[in-house]
Amino acid sequence: MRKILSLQWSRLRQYYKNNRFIFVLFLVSSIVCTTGFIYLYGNLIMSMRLRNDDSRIYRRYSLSFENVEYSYDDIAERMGKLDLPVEDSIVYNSYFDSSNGSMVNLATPVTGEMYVVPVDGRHSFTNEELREGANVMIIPHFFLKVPAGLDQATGIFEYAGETFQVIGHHARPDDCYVPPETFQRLNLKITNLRIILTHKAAGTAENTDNVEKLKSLFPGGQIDSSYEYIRLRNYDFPTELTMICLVYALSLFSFMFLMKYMMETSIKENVIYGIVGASKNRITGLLLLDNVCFSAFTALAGILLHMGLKNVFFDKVNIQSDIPLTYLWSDYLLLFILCVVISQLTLLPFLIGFRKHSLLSAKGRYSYM
Amino acid sequence: MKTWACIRSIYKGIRVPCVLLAFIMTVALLVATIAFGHYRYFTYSRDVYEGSGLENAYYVAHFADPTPDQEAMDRELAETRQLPGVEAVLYDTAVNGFTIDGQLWGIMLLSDSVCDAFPLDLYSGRSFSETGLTADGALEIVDASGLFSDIALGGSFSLNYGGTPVRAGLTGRIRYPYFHINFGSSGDVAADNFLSAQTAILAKDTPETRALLEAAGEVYYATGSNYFVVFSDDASRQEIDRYLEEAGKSCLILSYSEILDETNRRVDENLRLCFPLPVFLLILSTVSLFSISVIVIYRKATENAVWYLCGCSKRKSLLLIFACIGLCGAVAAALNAVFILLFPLLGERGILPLERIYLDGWSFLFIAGYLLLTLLIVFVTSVLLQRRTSPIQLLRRLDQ
Repeated sequence: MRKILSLQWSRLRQYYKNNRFIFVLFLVSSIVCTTGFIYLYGNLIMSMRLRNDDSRIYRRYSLSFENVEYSYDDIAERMGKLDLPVEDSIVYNSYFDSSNGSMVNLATPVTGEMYVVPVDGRHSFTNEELREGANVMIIPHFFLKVPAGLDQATGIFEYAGETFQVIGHHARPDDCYVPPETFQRLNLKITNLRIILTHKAAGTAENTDNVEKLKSLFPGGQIDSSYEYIRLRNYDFPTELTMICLVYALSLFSFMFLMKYMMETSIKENVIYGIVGASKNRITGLLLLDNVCFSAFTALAGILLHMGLKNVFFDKVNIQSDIPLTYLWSDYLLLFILCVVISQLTLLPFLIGFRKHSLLSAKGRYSYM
Repeated sequence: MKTWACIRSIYKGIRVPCVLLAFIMTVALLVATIAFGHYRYFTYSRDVYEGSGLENAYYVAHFADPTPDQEAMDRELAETRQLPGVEAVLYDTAVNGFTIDGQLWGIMLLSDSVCDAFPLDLYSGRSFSETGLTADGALEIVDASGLFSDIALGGSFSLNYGGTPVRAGLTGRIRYPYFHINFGSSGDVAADNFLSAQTAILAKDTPETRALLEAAGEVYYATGSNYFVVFSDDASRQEIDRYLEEAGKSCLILSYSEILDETNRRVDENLRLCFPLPVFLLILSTVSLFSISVIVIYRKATENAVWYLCGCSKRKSLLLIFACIGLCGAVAAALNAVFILLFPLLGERGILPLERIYLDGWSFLFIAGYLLLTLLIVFVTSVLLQRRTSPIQLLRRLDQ
């Protein structure tokens, strides 16, 4: 082992001595290529971009109650027993008016602050309105189909036999918010419950655990988890990774000509090895080992460069500026292995060409001196 | 002849790296050109919008279903025009059913004020006359569909309007992707929403053109439910606020600056989304170019030394190597320039219909800039490596 390491070290030194400029150029080019590869890995692979995306959309669990009925109080009580970090929850009564094709989702909060994207007017209820169950409503700024009872000019909405005063508009389509007391007084069937957690499930196991907890508290409810979207995107990981590996391989292939040049300039050394008894396979193995050393060094340097400049530079040029990318140790390890393996694969055509000739004839061909 | 022989000799033994380099540079430049074209689409739409002179205008959009019918729209537009402080109302109107090659095509009528604010991006010909009719009373048409590519400009032809022939004259052409103005969008509206790439036949909306069409048969107008309301410079703030408060009850109202802000946001977002991969590929191809330049110079050191001994000047041998490597970049630039020239043809034939891409003189400049950069790199590499040494000295150095 010591002999191999010592031989390897002397070979690398010889590469450097033969042509310092090409040696440095090869290392720098490979490091640039590897750093670009790491950048593309974070920005073009969807599951990497979703890792830190904690938008509400990925923290949502929706329950629909088609075959079972729960009252508002019942749901509120069960939500109190739910052992999950809930940020907010809303119940809905969804009504589709077949006469004009409009949809109204009458909604009221159960736990937490009511989350609306305000457009104009008020986007929360006063204490008095909450206490008295006032007939006030916050409606969408636009409806895909305007409901029959809504008079947009006066701000009056006739719905479920009662008259509501529109106090504000929000950006989400079809959802009409009323105070909880009002919702209960209307005595409408609760068709959906939407729960937003404080953070996204860390993995499939946690998501499954969350779903089980919801099932146990709301038997008969149909549960949809938005984590499914993340899970589906993870299926694209092999395809996306293959694409960027191909880009990396193509770019590395062009730098392999530098490696080939270095191999050619050290042909004399390989001829001597051949003369003293080394087989062609052994010499080929040595050349591969040379490349392993180079690729391992450049991969490590690329990773360290990326880690060092991540906050200063790479985070500023990410495709999605508002979501930071997190590279785990497993990501860096995978990238390291891929860099070394792809480097060996790109060297293969040159090695095959190299093996076609005997060492002496190769020396004659590649002798520039 | 001698020069060509020298060039062929340089390529001997390095064909594969040069071909690979040309391939990588072509692909990198193609990806960058398309990304630039996509970015240019957003900046072009912004330029069109900024040049429209609509700083005193508000975009009014009906977004709920059902949108007002034709009669309600006509009434609304007429009432809006009468309001104090309102200078003009910009809208578009579609007209029904011309049969061309067995297919029904509508005509988009653009009013004078629309044509002034958003001049057509004509590839050839001219825009409409005052009346929208030719000198001999035919309907002036601007082709934004490719349907009339076999008719010469100025030529007249007959359009079938419900069985009645209507005389038309081709005044201008818009090339693929046929960008023309459209007010169909509501919601988060930006300048690119006003550019439609759908095929269309355009005519001017004047009393004369309407009379011509109505004389031919029953005409169904479909005025778009979104429009611009342009206030005059001396309109008071109260007049504008009064209008906005009233219209805001049933419509989405966006000011010029709100639309421009959204446009700028999209331009920045597009810059961030589109350019990382092309920039990465361009950097890689540039570094590859530099690496292969160095290899070529070192590989050809013996030959160079022989030429030098035979009387070839250092300058000439430098130029030869520069030409050979620079040719790789020139090939990539040339192929991409051909792509830009052929892009309208490829899009028209459905071979490469890329959406939201605008390729114009700036794209050529981009390619030319990259070509200059690659030639500079090759030149600098050649000079740096051979500046202080003669070819013989370089050979001796490599021999050591």
